[in-house]
Amino acid sequence: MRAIFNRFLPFASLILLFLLLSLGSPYFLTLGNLSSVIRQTTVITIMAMGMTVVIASGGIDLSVGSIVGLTGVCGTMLIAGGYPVALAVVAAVTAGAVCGALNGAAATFLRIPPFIATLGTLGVYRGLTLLVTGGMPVANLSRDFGALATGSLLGYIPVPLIFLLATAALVQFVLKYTKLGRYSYAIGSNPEAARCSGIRVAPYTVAIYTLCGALVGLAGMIESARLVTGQPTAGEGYELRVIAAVVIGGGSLRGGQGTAYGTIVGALIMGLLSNGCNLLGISPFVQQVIIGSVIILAVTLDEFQRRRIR
Amino acid sequence: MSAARRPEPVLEMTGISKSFGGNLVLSEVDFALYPGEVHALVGENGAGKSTLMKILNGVCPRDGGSIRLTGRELHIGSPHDARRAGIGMIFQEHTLADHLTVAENICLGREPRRAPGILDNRRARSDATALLEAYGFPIPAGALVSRLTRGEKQLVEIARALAASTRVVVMDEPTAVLSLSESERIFRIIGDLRARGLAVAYISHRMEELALVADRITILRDGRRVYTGRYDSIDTAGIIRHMVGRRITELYPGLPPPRAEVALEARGLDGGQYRNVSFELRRGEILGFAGLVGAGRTALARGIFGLEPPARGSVLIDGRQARIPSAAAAIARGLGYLTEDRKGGGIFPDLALAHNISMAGLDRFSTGPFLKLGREAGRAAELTGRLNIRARSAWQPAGRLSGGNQQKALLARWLFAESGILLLDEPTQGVDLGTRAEIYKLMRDFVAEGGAILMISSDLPELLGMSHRIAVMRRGQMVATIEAAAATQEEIMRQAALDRT
Repeated sequence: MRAIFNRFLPFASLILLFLLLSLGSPYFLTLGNLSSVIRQTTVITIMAMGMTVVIASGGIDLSVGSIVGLTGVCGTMLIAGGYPVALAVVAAVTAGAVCGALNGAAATFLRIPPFIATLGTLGVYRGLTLLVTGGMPVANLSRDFGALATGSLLGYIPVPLIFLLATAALVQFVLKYTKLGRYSYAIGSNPEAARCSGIRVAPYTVAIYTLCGALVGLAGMIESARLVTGQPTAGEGYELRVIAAVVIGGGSLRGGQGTAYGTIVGALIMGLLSNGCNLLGISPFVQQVIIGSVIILAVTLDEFQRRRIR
Repeated sequence: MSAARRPEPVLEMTGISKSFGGNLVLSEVDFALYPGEVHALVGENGAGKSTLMKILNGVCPRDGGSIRLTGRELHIGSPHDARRAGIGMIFQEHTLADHLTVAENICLGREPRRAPGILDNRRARSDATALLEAYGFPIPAGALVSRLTRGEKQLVEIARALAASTRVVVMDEPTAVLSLSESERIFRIIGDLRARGLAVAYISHRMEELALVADRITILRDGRRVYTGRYDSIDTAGIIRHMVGRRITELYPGLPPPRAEVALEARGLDGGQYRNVSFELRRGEILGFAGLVGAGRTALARGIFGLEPPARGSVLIDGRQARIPSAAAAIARGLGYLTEDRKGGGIFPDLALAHNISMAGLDRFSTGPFLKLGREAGRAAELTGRLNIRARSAWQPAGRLSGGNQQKALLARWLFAESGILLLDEPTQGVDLGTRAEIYKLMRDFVAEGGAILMISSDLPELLGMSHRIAVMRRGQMVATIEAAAATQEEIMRQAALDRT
């Protein structure tokens, strides 16, 4: 009973928040506002999808914000050079995957804790981005590139929403229906038991970080499309919001837990909180206090539940 | 000694009740300790022994009942309160801080100080050394706990608890990981404590041990007290009957004779903790491995299973040379390893029971990277039923299951993986009698169908009752292989401990 309660707590909180905001502000329940919430949270949510798998495996990736910058710049440079948008997206996703694979390799083969390994690559990837661009944004991009973030399908459905749903479906499928997903939970829950069960922990760990990097690459392109420039500083500080979304959505930094739908809920809770604060005229300073408190509350509840299992 | 002339009990727990989430774990249990007695507390896993002792130690609060110490009502809200009242506790699971030294662990919570807030490390070291020497524990006080063996850690745990105990000592399976000579030292210490007038509550599954130390016995079943009396007023069969509420006629099911084919052969295996080990294990055979803690048995099993591959020597499976550099390779060749360390290397606590069972055999239940969830769940459910694993559902996190059910889930994992050769390391450690009988029957069925089992055990009756042959290891070497039917406990012990006695 309590397990079910804990599991659906994020969903219940999201619905409650939604109802409160609907009552609190007449502008909240308008198509324009809701679609802007989606557009603002898409990048974080797609990144959080990759992070969900990493965190389920007991890891962490602090470099995702830098990967957004690096992949965004890679992709936009191709577009600026006249290549088609689709090719640029593929290139950005590939670049992200390479970054992720390097993170995974550092964490496994060099035996550095992932927190430290990705703290290092956070600096490396950002520095490379600044080096490549000389610190200048990549500009003069075609208008149809911007449609990646600002366009709509059938007049109403924001294009980024399609990407978000597709990514979430992919990650949930991986977690539930593939060996990679199952082994992620196993490695996160008890790495030694995973080894004793014959799981090849090192290559699977690299695969997990690679998947995360690839999805972050996609997010990097959507972020650049939103700005219609390749900003070398794009994504700075996003890692903390991404981790927060996963944790609020039921992931645990100790590994073994987390789902794609939970993470969507976590990201939406954060998105609605800041949107609601704006609508209700609450200062951005107070917003930070509120979001920080929500993170602490979510982790506290998680710890409470954990203590009953271990 | 008659009850009338008895001194007042030093500790009296009356009408203790406790429930967890609507589950009644203890129901009106009475438990009293007199000065200078060893009082055995027995019962199957889940009978409520550990909960009763946790209440006494302030680890978990009681719902009802009272605790009186030397006649006065005692308030115990935390382990600290219990310590101040002179109640010491030795837990089943290790509660030492791995990164601190032995001395720091022993003094934890009551460190000697030079001045408020300033620790006196030198005195802590000398106090701890004196304490360890007094009990004859050969452990340097300055050593890091993480460097000690499991047996040595247990000795530190005991020293720490005794340092705080002035009236009552609770021991929860103190010998579970100890070698025979270490256990004997504990029994001598218990004798000393009794002579000094302390009261000892002693929890154990091993009947032979209870016969050595216990003055009185209390038996719990399903959270109720079903028997209290002098230890010599009841025999082992009676104790078991009270514990399980039914008769277990034969704990060991009897083994069919082994077949001729050799399933697993080791030739001259050399690893860090074992040297030049050779043996043959036939299909249909259970080969027991006896030895003291630290004799190298676990290292050998882990070596064969590819976790820490041996430096030299070869392993043959079904007569063919097998290179096994990893656990994955071992599993692919039909090996399965049941770890002695359920929490550390066995159970995935947050994962569902069904997923714990299937983890080592998913290759057969997938196409490429994709899992066949339906078939997987079906097979896991079948094994859950066959092994009588009690869980609320197949999706209950394995961390919430009792120790015995976790152990059965780990056995089920290797059946799921269709392993033909099982390396079982202390398969019934910390498992209650009913579950033990079930595990033995499972092992019998497994070898009857042509499987082969290498069983490491420190439980001599189990080795004699559940092996065809018993290999004895001493300091990393195999010193004897004895037909179980012709072996005695004394002979095995003599071989295992020759140079220590």
